Amino acid sequence: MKYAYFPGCKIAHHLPDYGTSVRSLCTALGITLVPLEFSCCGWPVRHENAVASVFSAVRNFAVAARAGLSIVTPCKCCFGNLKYAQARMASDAGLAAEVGNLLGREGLPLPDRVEVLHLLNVLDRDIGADRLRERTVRPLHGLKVACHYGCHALRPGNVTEFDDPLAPTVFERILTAVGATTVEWDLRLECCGNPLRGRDDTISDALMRKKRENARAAGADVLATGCTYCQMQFAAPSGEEKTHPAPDAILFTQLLEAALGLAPAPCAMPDGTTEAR
Amino acid sequence: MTVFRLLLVSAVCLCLAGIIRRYARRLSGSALPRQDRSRGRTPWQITHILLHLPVTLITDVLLLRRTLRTSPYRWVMHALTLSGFTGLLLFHALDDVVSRPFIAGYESTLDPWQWLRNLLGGLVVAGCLMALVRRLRTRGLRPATRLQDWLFMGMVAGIVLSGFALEATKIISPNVFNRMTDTYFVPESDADIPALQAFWSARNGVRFSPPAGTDAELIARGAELHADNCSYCHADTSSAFLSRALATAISPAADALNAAQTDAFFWFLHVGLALAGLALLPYGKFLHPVATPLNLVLRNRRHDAATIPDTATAARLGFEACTRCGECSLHCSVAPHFAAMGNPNILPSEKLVSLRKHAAGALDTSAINALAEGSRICTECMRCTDICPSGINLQDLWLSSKQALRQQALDGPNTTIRQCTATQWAEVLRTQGASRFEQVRGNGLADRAESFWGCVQCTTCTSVCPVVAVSEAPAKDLDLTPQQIMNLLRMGLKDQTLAARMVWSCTTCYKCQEHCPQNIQVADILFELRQIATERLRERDLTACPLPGPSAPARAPMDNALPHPAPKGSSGDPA
Amino acid sequence: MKRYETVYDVMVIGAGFAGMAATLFAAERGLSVAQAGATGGIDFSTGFLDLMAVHPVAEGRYWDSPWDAVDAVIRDVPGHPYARLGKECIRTALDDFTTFLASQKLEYLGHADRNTPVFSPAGTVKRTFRVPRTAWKGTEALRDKAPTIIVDFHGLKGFSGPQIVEMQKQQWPDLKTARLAFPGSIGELYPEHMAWTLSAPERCAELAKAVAEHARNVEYIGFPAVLGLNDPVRTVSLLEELTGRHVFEIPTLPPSITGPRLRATFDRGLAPRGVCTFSQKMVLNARRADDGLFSFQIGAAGDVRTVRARNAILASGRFFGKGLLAHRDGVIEPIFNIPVTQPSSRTQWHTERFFARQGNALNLSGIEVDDRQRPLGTNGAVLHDNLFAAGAILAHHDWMRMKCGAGIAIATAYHAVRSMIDSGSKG
Repeated sequence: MKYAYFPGCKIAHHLPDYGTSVRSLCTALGITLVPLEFSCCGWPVRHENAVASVFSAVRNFAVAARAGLSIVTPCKCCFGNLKYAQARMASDAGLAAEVGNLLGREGLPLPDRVEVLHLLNVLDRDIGADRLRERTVRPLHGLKVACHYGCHALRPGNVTEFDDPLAPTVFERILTAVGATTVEWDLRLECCGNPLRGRDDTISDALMRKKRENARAAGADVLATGCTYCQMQFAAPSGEEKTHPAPDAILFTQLLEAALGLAPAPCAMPDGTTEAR
Repeated sequence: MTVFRLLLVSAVCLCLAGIIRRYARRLSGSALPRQDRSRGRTPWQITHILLHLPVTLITDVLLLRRTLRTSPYRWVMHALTLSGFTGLLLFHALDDVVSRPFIAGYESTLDPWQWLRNLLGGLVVAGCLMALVRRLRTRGLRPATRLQDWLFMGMVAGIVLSGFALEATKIISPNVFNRMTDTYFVPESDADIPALQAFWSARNGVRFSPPAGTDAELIARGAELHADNCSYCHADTSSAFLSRALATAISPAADALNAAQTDAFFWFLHVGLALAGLALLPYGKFLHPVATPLNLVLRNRRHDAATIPDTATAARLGFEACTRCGECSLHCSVAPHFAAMGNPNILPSEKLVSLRKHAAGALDTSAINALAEGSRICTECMRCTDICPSGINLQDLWLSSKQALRQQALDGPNTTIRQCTATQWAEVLRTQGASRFEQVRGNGLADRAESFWGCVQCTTCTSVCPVVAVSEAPAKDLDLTPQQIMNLLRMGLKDQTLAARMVWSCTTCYKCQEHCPQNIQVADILFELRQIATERLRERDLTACPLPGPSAPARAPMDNALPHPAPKGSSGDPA
Repeated sequence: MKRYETVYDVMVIGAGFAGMAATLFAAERGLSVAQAGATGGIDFSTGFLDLMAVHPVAEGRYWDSPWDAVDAVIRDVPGHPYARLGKECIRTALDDFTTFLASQKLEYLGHADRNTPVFSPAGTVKRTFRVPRTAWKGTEALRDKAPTIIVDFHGLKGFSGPQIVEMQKQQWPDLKTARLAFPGSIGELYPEHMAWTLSAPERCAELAKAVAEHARNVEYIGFPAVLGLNDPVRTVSLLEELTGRHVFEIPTLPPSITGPRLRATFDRGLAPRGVCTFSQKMVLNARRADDGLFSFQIGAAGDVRTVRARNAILASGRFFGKGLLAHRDGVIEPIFNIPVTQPSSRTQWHTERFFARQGNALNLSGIEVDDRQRPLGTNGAVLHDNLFAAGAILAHHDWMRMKCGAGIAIATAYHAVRSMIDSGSKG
């Protein structure tokens, strides 16, 4: 199992813990992550310029294709935009020509379809719930987890092909395999609000608050994320949090690390084995 | 050497004036890092740096560790230039200060100094050649190469090459020979001078006119005279292996060159270039030989965005330590965006230049907008900071400059659009008409009737929209709901939708699109509307609503606070 | 994900009532199922399950007993889909269906042999067979004409308390209404957003408090159907506890959440049964190999994938679900090109009165099937022995006017699955 590792731009400075955790987990599970020098996935600039967004993504495919590897990313926005770029390239001939032209100027050939996967898909497909269960040494028994899916991996479903866009199961499958209890909650598939961070903070905050309240009402101890942006959003300090204690957002890789005995638990465990990171 | 003194003094004065001017300028530059950086200024940090100073000096400054991380080629290139130039500077240019007082019997024309000088010069020339090849052959480097890069490279190479030319023309010059014999040689007979000439001509390459004798006996006599009179100060010119080779190469034209006193010309050129380099020291890339080592020491071998010591001076030093090597731009995560959009400010090395100019108030409206766009597009991936061979804390610089631009409401269409109501913008955008972008690319989803054929206005998109859900009063907060936007578009009223809050506060969750029973690409269309509006504002350099909008009063004082005159062109100024 | 590599036992085309039901019945019998196609009208459903209530439509005659109505329609319209099923089949199908829903927290109530009068969104009373638990107490209030208040909200379109009261005041003097501000909102409202809000207990408490002063002298409180998203019974119980009154929901006009609730229930319940759903992906065309294996192209132009299956159930609905396309020269079935029974000429698509009670022959269009739900070709012979059809796409019924949509969808789906298994076509 060897993949081109696409960490995305934000991990290095804004969320280094995620990077560390992804690497440690993959090493333990025998997934080789090959670091290639990728450019931006194109997601942040998509509001402004479609060509720049798609070209940036496609350039990454050229880089991965040269190495003969599929791409795996722990970020759902990167994942979503890379998939989106593939769909646009297939459906918009004019744009595809423009992008091909830009690639040519860099001396890169237009790559064939490169497989793009989110880390959750890789764990589900290549490792599987059964093996995760076998590898678990400290099961997360009793920990009630609300899985936060993240919009850009889920939708549009025909573009991302992450899971069923209306009834996804992969996140729960992975976390129950290591002993956690996943809760059902109404806003499971809703937006965390990060895309509006800095654009419309009022709505961004409101979306996040609503999700957290709903997760708390559903009885969750923690809210599991599998996306750099979502985690940044939930981890951002917010004044109201004091009065409304809501479940902390925890990176799913850190939960898996804890279960596999690779790292101390990232949160208080129900059995009292609190080992704050 | 009064001419030399005069030139030297002028160069030093210019240099000092440049430094004073540079530092005397008020540092309230709007795009410069925060000035109040008192939080981290602890004595311990300074101590920490001092403790590590020896290691940093050896690894980062002398051994160019950070440069090696970029590529072995660059390391060889830079090591050659740095070692060669430093050697020449210390032992040749400053020989009165360094070599003579500290080295007994030093003469610049004696070995090993003469040989060494050629070697060092050769290293610099080789380094410069490698730099030239790199600039020309690295595709991504072209947009990051400016006049000052060629100027700097040309200056370094020019100083050394003119030095070689000076030495070569001196080797072949009978005038120089005569000057020396007139000053230092007392002939005992009339035959002495021809003998010495014969020896210097045969052995050391002086080209006399008419040519000196080639008789072996005469040369032998000359050799004796040389040994007695000259050899204390003069090694064989052949040890100046590069200059001598050059002298041999140009010797066929020796008569003309000697007659024209080219050695004097090259003296002026060599000294002139060296002093010009000195005078230019405070400017741009020329400062890096001073600023970069200092910055490397202060950075204490860190590659992250921590600012230690967290002072304005440290931040400012980082600002100036740029060698313009372009590595940041070569590795930049958003370099493809530059390729697609053509704004050089997207590339870190070029953004740094604009940022300096902006701090000096030297940018006009469209240049400021370009800088703002470049800043906004940066994804803060920290790769430039990690790779920078000069150890510049670019990450911190970008974070604070972004913040500064944001405070000036220069952070892009999202802010600009919100300065007026959707109705006001609709009026403005309608009057201005479609952008070139729309005319050329056009026929996107929003302009194509097929995109909306299926819409039955069932309001599913609106009813699943989380943004509508969390807004207290959608009609007021969002101007339009998604299904209303689809309806306006199918009626051909695109201008009415471009500035709607719903378009700009779309959280891109794609629920509308996923749930649409008619498979209308609602979220994709909203993306496209933002792109269209962005292009329209961009083409027209609009960074503020030209009509007095709801937040326009808040913006005026911001503009006044800028250290530079308010941007030209009334379009950017609401007042 | 091996979603595209597997050969499925059956491909269900359509994700409306019929598609969902076919998927459920096939999955419960242990078949591997793939499902694709538009959600069609399910998002617009009131949440009621109609069996059979009106016949003949021209007279608008309502039936109390759906079974008698079924008998009557079979007698008068021999081609009606019910004619091929038998009551036992219909009854079992509906029971299986509602049992599944109940297991997913969406419980249905109703009488064994009787239709129940319920409020429609417009305030009229219609008869239906099965009613969600959250609406059930409304039928009791309606039956007893008990003191009741209908609450509606400023900013909510598609639901009007005064309109309901106006419609009912002759026979129900103790019915009144009140319009309140919805907690935390001052603008227009959408049912799904309100349901989000009310999943928070604090918000329910605010609502209960606001209702209290209007509900002093009533036994029942009727709300628009916005009381919670995935577990509405919990929200209704909470409100009953907080107000001390019986609480019920009345469906709103689309987009309501009664439809999305149904769909979400299926999404939740089918995935654990191993169903592979290709949500919102249209089936573009189908090819059948000589050995009977179907290959379906699904997706959209530019992004087309192939899914293979040994059997297929066509449950793609009529016009809104795009199971039938109305072209200039006639109605076609786009996937298998099955002949469509339809008015002989286009001029007959139109009548002078849009709301004419007898409806339009166009709304009886559809495909013909044999006794085992297999579509027939032009010559009246079975088209493929492993292709079955269910739901609204069948000819000879006007489900909207006959009030038999859910019944036809569920029962024909049940019959199609049963026929498929009986024929043992390599399942």
